[in-house]
Amino acid sequence: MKRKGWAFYVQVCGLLAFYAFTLAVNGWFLWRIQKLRDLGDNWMAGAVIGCLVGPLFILFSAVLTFLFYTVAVKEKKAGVTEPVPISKTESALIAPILNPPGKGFLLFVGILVSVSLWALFAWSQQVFRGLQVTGLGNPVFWGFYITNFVFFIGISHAGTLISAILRIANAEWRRPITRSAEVITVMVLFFGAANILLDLGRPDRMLNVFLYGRYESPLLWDVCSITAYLTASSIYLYIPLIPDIAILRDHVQGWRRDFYELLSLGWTGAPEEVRILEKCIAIMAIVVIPVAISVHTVVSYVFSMTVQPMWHSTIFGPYFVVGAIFSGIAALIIAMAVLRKAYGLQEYLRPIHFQYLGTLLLVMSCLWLYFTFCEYITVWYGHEPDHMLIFFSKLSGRYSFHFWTMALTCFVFPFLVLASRLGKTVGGTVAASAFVCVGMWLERFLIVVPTLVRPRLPYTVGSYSPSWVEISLFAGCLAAFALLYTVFTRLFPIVSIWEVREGKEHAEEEVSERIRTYFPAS
Amino acid sequence: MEISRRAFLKLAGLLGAGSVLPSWARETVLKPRETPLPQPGKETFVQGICGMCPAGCGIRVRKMDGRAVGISGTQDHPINQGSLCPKGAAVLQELYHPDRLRGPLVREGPRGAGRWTAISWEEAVRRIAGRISKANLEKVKRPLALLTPGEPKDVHQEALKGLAGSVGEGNFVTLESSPRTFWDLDRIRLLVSFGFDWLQTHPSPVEAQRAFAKLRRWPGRQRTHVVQIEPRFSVTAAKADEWMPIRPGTEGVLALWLARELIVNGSYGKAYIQGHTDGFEEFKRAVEMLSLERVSRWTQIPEKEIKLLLLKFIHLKPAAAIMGSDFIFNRMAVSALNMILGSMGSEETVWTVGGLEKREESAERFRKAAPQVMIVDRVNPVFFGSGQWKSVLENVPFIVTVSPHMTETAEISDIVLPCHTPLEQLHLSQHSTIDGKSVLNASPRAVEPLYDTKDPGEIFLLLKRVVEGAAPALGEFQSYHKIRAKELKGESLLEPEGEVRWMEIPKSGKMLERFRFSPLVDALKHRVPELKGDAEFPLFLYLFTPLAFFRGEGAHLPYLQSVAGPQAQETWGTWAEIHPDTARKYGIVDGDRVWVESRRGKIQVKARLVPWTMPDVVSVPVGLGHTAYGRWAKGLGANPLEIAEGDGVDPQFRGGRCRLMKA
Amino acid sequence: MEESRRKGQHRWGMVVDLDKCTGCGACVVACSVENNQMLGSPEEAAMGRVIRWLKILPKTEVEGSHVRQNLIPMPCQQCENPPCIKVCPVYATFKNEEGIVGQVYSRCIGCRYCLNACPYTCKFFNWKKPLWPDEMRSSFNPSVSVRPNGVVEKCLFCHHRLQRAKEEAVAQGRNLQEGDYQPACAEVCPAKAIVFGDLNDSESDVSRLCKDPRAFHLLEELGTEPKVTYLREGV
Repeated sequence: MKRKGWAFYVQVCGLLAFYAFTLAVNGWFLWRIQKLRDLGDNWMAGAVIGCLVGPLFILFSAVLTFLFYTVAVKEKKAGVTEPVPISKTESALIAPILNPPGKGFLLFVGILVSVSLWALFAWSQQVFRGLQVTGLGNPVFWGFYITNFVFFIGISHAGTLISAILRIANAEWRRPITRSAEVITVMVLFFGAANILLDLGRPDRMLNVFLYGRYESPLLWDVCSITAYLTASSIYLYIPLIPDIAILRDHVQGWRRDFYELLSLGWTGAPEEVRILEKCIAIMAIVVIPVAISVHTVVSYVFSMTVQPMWHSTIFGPYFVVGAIFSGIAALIIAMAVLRKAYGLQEYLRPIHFQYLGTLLLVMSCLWLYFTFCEYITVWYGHEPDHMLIFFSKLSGRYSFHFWTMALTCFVFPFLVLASRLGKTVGGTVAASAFVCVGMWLERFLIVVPTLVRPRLPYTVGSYSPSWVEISLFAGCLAAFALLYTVFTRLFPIVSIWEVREGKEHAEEEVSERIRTYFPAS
Repeated sequence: MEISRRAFLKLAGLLGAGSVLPSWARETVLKPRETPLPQPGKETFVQGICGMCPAGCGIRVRKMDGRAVGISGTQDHPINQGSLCPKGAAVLQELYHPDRLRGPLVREGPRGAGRWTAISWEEAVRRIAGRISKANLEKVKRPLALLTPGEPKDVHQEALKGLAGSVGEGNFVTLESSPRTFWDLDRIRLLVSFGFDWLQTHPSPVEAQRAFAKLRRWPGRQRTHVVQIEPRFSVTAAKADEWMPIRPGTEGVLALWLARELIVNGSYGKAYIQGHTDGFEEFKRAVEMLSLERVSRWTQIPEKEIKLLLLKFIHLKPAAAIMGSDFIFNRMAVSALNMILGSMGSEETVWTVGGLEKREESAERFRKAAPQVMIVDRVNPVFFGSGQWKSVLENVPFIVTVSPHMTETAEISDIVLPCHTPLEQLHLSQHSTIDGKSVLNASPRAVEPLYDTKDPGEIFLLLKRVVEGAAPALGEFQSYHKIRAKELKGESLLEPEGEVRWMEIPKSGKMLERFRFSPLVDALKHRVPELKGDAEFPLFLYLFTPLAFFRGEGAHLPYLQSVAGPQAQETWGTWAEIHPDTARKYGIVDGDRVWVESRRGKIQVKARLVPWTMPDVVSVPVGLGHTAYGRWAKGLGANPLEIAEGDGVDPQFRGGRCRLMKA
Repeated sequence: MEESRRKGQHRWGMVVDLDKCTGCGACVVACSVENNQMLGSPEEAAMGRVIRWLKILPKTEVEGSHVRQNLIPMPCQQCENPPCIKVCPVYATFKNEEGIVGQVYSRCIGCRYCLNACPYTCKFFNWKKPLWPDEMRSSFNPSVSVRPNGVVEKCLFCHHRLQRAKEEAVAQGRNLQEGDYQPACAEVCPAKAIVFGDLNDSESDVSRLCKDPRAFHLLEELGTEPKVTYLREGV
């Protein structure tokens, strides 16, 4: 066995840490379930969730171990291959990483940092003065933070789910866009989870969720599924990144080389490594789909498990998932357009990609309309007074502006744009996506707030308008997300170099081979 | 090896950080960072008297190391029978109000400047007595006037009367004295209230609530039909079996028509009328003029409903009509109806009006000749007494206010003398229960005084002493209190650990003398309310008082603010109840800020659209809009008495005409 | 649920006779005093942030010119099947063996899920640290803790009084009897419209009144089985 460098030991530590995490997750489930049994509380829910989530982490550990063993530990039969030189077109992909940032970029980052710092200040106000700095009150206990939580979690479906589905479907056009989608997922999930913490009256006690967790509460389901999703999508982002990190490693010097060395696991690009890597990607792609769906289903359960009018709905699970994918695609299109412009990636992110994603967006828009229709028609036809109060507050009452704006921006505008010629252009799809992002945020708002404004018993009707703190924190979340995303693009190639390269080299053959199998031989 | 050591250090660092984290986490999670409660100490219970209003309820105070920490009703007290009203329940907030006055103050600078200097009691008493003696020596027409709540008849009032008696005559004025009504609840079958929101404004709140429960359902008692005739859908109207909205001020006409029809139907006690009244025949002729059509037009009640009400009066007997004090005409009319019903005035009847003291037309009296010195005892005429009092007080050269709080009246005074709050006071008072029993309450202090304050009675006794030229004696009031209790055979009630603070005493209420119809007949000749339009001020302003602010007090206690407007869910502010149609005319939406304007001025309130109000009536609660009176009352809401036309002293106010404007 | 219906175990319940209740608000004030509830302010009232565990709910029906308004005193309905406790992620709200729905202030993380799950909107959130003038701290009921910022609180049927009654009963060497324990609202009610007692005792006033044909529960259709029963207004 050849002598290993320092990076190897750190990598081992990282792997061990992940084992510890897996162990902790499983142990936590066992401990809490035992505790709940002792207390005579409902432990079955915990058993079910534990049986689903615990093994999932073991699977993640196995995948990582498998990969680590193949790439970093195992002696390859073939020797170290020479690094493939970067072609001229490819140099555009690593230019943002190798070149020093320009003035415009620094200005952009400066703006993002100042907005984030402002949000930090707003948050400090909330920490010191409590939730009185929000616009919330009795009976509107949830507002912007929960809306943003649902919205951000929805956006997070951009990534992984789309990329995983496209990967499994062998859609070759996915190759340049998967990375940017997966990064959205991982980054935005943090802000989804952060909004829950912002919403807590006692964030200092958030560890109580682990110390005294009750699995009967949908919030615990959220904690479990979001943790699983964050882990899965981080792994799913990381694995396809390894060959690209290796490429970067070979092009930089100094501390950056160490950094990439550490993350590349000593990737050499041997065919065996590539084979195992692709297998791992395939496993993760399959695993991440149900996890992603579970996340947004469970988010919807937070509402639909209560008996409150227009929350207590059986279609909320799929409705939320559809909405999530819908807004996810929209966010992805916007992100791609920005990257294309900022880093000159016209060669990689081509109009055809936008057109295909636009078609997907159109499909989701129709699906969204269908679900929305189902949701509202049943409420209206059933005509329960409590439900109708909220129904009418949305359609013709206080929230009618929000509602009809949502209807326009989620369906009418995107549909008109995408179904027309404009849908084939970058500009058209981006415009439609911008509408959808606004509309989907409004949709989340319309789910959270109107139900709370009209409680079942005729109290004084509540009212809600966000305070400057809530608005600042929303802006801060967006800015910080953009910042993280930008930092990522400065550290790693946002278009997968090796996958595109592989596509260019092999895909054509494979596809024509595959197409041939679709039809009779003669 | 070098490299692996580095890795090892990193690992160690990581592990170290990991082990620190849980302990820090445990620290945050498990260490409650909450305000520690005061250490529990020695717990005692004492019996006392509430004193938040003149009703005279018995209370049981829970004390912890001498601090009052809980309050409940005395189980067997004849007035409250173990219960409390919201005001009584809030007595602890009165005691521990942070803006209470803590010692005598003398004003610096002009009136209302709000600059005060603390002085000693000796100095304050000396100055006031000096002013009184000086005025007395100058032989001015009115050297001294004393303004006090009419109720209760207690040892403090007695001391005040003593002071009044020592300087001239006719200088003792009670601000409110509504005639007490005694109800014989066991027999009554129909109770019709002519504009009296009695559940919220009865002078004895606890008894009123209990009476209602009794009327409704009580073992061995038939259910009473309760009718509320009132322009506003008040709490009483909501609780009544029937609510008849009526144009403000026309209740008397309706009562007279009913009387007329009862006479026509012959369903009245002829013998009773003969035995107790004078001038019946004239009255009978005088009410002839009231036709159903006219009455319906005046009152805006459909003819059908008026006839239905008449049928109720004919068939549900014994019946009683009650009336809050309002227009003298209306009051007489309802009394006349009661006479016709044979249900008023004697022992055998369903209800009696006892102690009909003539209400003093106080403010008017002083307008002509302002007193040299005025002592205001625990009332707030500047806030509660409409503009009249303000102008009267402006002409008084020297005003002294006795109150636990810096009220509006105290603000314009020259010297403010802080008195004990009810829990710190010595009590010795006489009360009547709703069914006519007389009760003597007597109790020592429930808690020791918190600040340098005195019993109201002690202040008056001191002043009297000094005015008479004697030296003030310490503790004189305590012994006076004891002696008076002994004279009333109530000394056993004063035992420090005593469980009983009350005893029943022989009835003291006067029975009504013969009822004379003639003033009413005269009034009918030239004072029948006409239907007058008012193009400029087309709406009626109807004022009502929530129980929380009854007698104009209570806005200074935060817990009472929370129960002020249960019907519209309005708290912590003044609102106006407006019919949606009226609101539409003025372009007003629910929750808007609006100006309510009368000929006297305008106030800004929050508009609440309520479909169950009368279209041309704007109802505004009284009690808020203080410019003083502690941190919670000051600057909150608006005082409709400032724009009301008419008498502000009545518990049931007359509003007058108004119009609306969007603010 | 079955446990608390076991014989020998108490199950506390309340009956409010709306025919007698006059909506005077004495119960609201008594509850506030007894439980050291926040003082409130106009700003907080405008934001709906004033906490009153017991409040008067006006339920109004307008039919043409005919109006009916019920003023309903509303404490926590103390559901037998409480929707709020199911959703709590940290065991901060629970139903005890005597049927009272409790709240652990020191554990609550302030997620406000239980408030949203409660169809009666009978739970409350401390949007800030309650402000108390020093003078008023003297009148704190020493048996009830003052809630910190950021946690949920609710009516506990004056649980501290039950605790005390139990201790007294033990000290006197007897079993807890029904009359030993009354919440502040029932004690203060001037119309005697609030009756409190043991639902497991079939002889008790509350059990008897629960069988009255006028008895109903708020939002009965949700199956929460409140232990606060109302008696309809009318004959």
